[in-house]
Amino acid sequence: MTIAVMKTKAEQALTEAFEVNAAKLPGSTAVSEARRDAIGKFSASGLPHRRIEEWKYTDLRNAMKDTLAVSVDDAVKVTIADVIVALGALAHVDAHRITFVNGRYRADLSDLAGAEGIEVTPLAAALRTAPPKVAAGLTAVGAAEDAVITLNTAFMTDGAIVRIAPEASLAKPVLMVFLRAGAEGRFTAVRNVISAGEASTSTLIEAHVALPGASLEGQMNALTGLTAAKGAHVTHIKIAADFGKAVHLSNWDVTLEAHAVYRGFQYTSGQSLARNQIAVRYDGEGGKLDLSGAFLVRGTEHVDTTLVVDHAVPRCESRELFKGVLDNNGRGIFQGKIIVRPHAQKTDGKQMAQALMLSPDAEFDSKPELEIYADDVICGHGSTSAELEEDMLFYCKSRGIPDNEARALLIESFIGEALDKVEHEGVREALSTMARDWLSAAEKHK
Amino acid sequence: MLEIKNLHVKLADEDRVILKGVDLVVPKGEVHAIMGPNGSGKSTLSYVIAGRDGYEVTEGDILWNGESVLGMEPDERAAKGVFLAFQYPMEIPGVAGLTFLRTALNALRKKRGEDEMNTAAFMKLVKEKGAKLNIDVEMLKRPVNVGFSGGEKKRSEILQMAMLEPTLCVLDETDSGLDIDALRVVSEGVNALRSKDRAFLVITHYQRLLNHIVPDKVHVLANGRIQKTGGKELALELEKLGYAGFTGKAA
Amino acid sequence: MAAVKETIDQVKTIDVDQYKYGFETNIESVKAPKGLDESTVRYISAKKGEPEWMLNWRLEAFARWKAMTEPTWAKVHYPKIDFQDLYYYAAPKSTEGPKSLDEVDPELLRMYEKLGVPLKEREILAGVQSTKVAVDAVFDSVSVVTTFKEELKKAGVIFCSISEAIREYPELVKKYLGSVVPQSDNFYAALNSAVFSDGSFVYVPEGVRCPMELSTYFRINEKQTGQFERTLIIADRGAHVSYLEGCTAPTRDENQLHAAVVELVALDDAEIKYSTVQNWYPGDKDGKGGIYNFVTKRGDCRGHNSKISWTQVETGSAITWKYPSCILRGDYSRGEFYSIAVSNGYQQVDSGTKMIHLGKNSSSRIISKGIAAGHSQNTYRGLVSAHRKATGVRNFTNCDSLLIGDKCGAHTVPYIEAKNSSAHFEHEATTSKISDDMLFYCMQRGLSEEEAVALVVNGFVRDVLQHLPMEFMAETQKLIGISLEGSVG
Repeated sequence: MTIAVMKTKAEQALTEAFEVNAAKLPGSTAVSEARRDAIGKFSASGLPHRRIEEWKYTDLRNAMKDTLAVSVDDAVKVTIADVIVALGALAHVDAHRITFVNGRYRADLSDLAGAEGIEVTPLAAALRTAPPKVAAGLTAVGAAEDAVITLNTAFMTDGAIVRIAPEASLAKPVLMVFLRAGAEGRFTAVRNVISAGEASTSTLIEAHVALPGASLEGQMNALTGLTAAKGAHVTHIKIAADFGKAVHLSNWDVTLEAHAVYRGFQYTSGQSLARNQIAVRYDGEGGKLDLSGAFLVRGTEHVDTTLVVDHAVPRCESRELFKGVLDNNGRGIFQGKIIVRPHAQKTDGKQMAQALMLSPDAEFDSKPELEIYADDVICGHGSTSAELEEDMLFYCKSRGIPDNEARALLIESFIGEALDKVEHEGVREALSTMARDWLSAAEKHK
Repeated sequence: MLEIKNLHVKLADEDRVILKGVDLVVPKGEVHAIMGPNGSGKSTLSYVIAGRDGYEVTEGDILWNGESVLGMEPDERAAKGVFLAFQYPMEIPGVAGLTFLRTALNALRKKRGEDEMNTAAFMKLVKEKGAKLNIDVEMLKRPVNVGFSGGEKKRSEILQMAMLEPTLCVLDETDSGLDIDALRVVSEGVNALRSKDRAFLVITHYQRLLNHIVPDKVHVLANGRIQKTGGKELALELEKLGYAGFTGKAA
Repeated sequence: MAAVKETIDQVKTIDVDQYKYGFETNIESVKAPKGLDESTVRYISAKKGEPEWMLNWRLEAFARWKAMTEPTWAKVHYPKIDFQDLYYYAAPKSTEGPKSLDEVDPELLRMYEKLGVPLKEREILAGVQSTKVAVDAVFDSVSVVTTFKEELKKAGVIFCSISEAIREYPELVKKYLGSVVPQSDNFYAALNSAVFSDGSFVYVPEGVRCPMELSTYFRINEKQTGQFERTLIIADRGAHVSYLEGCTAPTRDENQLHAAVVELVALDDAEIKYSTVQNWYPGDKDGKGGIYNFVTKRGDCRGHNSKISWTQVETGSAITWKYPSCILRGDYSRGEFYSIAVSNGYQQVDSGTKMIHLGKNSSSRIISKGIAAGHSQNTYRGLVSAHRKATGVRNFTNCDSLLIGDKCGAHTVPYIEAKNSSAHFEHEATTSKISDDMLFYCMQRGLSEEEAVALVVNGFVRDVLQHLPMEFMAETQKLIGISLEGSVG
């Protein structure tokens, strides 16, 4: 028996947009076939809705009623000065930079001079020229059945392929800038494929920002596949700071080989709707994961972090800490699942999600999950949600600090615990500045 | 009498050899100290005597009163009178100290063919023995070692020893984490148990414990073997000169 | 303390795979024809001599059930149940007449004696037993006897079978039945609403503190018979009552269905404490047989400052699907859930609670201890939610799992929904195994490995044990020891 589900406007539009733009999307025949296959899957499944357990709290079908014009080859005038303005506090971070505007690589805005031990290739070029086997790898990142990922496969225009040489130790972080610009809102899909060679050390930053004056609307679908080879140390940071009615759908798909050490961090603010999915899988023993994030939510914004840490092999460690500040009618969601497969003995997994609610109408939904099939493990999770503690406020005030400053101080110290997970000083400071600016803008939103 | 003969021990999971031919005899009524640098195998020796998993005896034997203990489970050894005061006593959430003590005491009595002790007699005994160690019964109503300070944990170990009345007492770094007052209380507790029917093996890194529990003999364990044996003055010598002379091979 | 010792002795004396309550009692019974259709519902209602409104209520439920499908979201797996291959009503022949203790079939009395359930008022009165407990004994589909009814009546407390309540106190039943768990709440609740055969009814009037513990003892005896009991407890303003439920069934190769509904209503300042020791037959060591336990238990803290506390010890059943919940409707109302779920062999447990905060300043507390051994799967599933208008809500949740052996699984699936900022929610969960070091420490002090495991496990569940009525604590410790028999070594 088949049940015919009515397609929503957005679903219909996306399927049609593919037909219209298929010829213009970059890639060889093999890539086009993979794209066609993906849009077929998407047409069948549609956008995920709340009756799908993983999407219980984020009904994308309902939230994304319309879709914007698909970004294929936008030519928007953007200067280096514009990029610096859009990056704000992040502009001060000394890094190798590769820039994409509306999902298109811009050599004129990128600067990879002097980068040793890494090779960076724009994805679009690779999709066109890569032999079928390599192309198959590029089109098969992430869970094939995930609707957001099928959309990404169908529509991806560009992104960075980053290869870090074995034993290379990068002196500067690699900053991938994804800039939203132009007066017209776009649906943009980008994909990054990162491989960190054995025993290499690197810091990678993805910044999703918008140019002041850009359209209030924008839909970003970003997927990053990352493999850390044996003994590699990778720091991976994503900053998604936008404004207006921005929609941000993000996927990280991370594989850790033996003794790899991976520190991931995600900062989210100014997104009207954000879904940050993270999947981490251990492929070798002795891997270490430290995943954290901060999300700042106000107005009617909705930020969802959904992660799955899959302990498939023994002797791996995972730590997660996610903190959110929720104001006005903002809604925060955290779903975190730790899986320990049979035989993955000596697993050590801990997870914490915390929300600070600044307004009576804020909402936080949390679903921390443990699924454990091995006995010699130490696993735990925690989740809390609360308002600012009156006692603490009183204490501050009794020491002479005015109410608004005391609140700001306490909120900053709350979110600071997550930001402290960022080891790169420059990035950490930039994030602190961004968080502080977000807080001081709070009054305007009241 | 405790006899350790040519004992070779390696870790069960790894190829690391820890003890490489330990020979040691501790007659009843005597207190022997084992001193040695960190990593010399002192704690391993105590665990192997008590029968902890994770070690493999590749050669040699351990005899207690002429009987090899190597094939016995830890609880069988305990029934034969072997007691190990742990360097880091375990915390057992939810199990009251009194419950634990009484369960252990009666398990041992049963294994030795004795009758179980009734509640009244048990409580009287705990109160009496606890008083000497500054342990209030209230403290024993809390779960075993949970939230105890370092000193409380060590005193509770000695109380268990006093209650269970073993004949071979192995004290593993009992002085670690103790301030001087706690050290005195613990030492007095141990000294009160010294008797002609009981053998003591006191493992320590520092000489200061031996000012309080004066040993009959001192053995130096380094590189997995007993390097030197002497009287209590050997401890003072070690305090002055350090273990450098015994670890030369490794340096 | 002594109980730990007893646990150990008990563990020793019992063979692996031996379920203490597995005997069968030879009682002649009256059964409804096999299968389920409208005539079955009518048969049951007629057997009970029910008024028409009750029959209509059942028929409505049956109509709804027919349109529903079995839920599949729980982490349990079992072959499809053939609902037409069951008997929906079985009653011992001898209970069809009026009942008082003297008239109960002596064979039945012997059975309850064997199970350790006190049904003899005289002995209890004579002080043979230390605490007074009134018991409603349910055998297959019917209540066979309720003790201490007269004495309770003096205090104004109604304690009887639900069948009797439908006849004698229709206004109370009409008012409250289905008011907490509606007929169409879920698949099993709808089935129960259509075919429930008996269960207990309690009404504690305003201001009365029930003078003794109330208890129901459920026993499934017949083959291929589903048990569908219905319990309704109402604590009127300022009333207090403590209630205990126990369950056992004979050892059988086949799986048997048990789908109960329990509704609790607490009005202003009332308090209900509901404890369960569930020890249905769990199946044998290969996973053959055992009870499928699909139960809907819900309490409604309807009144201001009311309180409902669930305590459960789940050791039996092949499959447990059970989420005793609280709807915290009244301002300042309180809900509690204390749970010990032990699974061994091939048992599958999916259990937890829902704390639905609707009232201002309502608070709840969840302590769940899951112990998985053998090839079992043990899942905690829970929901804590605060409604938009429910300000000042508090919840604390702690769920810990302990794994014994590497063939079992322990899972935690909490849903935490704070829909307003003043909700203060704290949730923590851990999963671990009994550390080798802890076992070695105990064994060094003279305990055998099984003794050590029993000791550590009893320590692990202590926070929950404390919430059981005194007289059941020791019993429970024993039960846990027995359930884990054969799990080490």
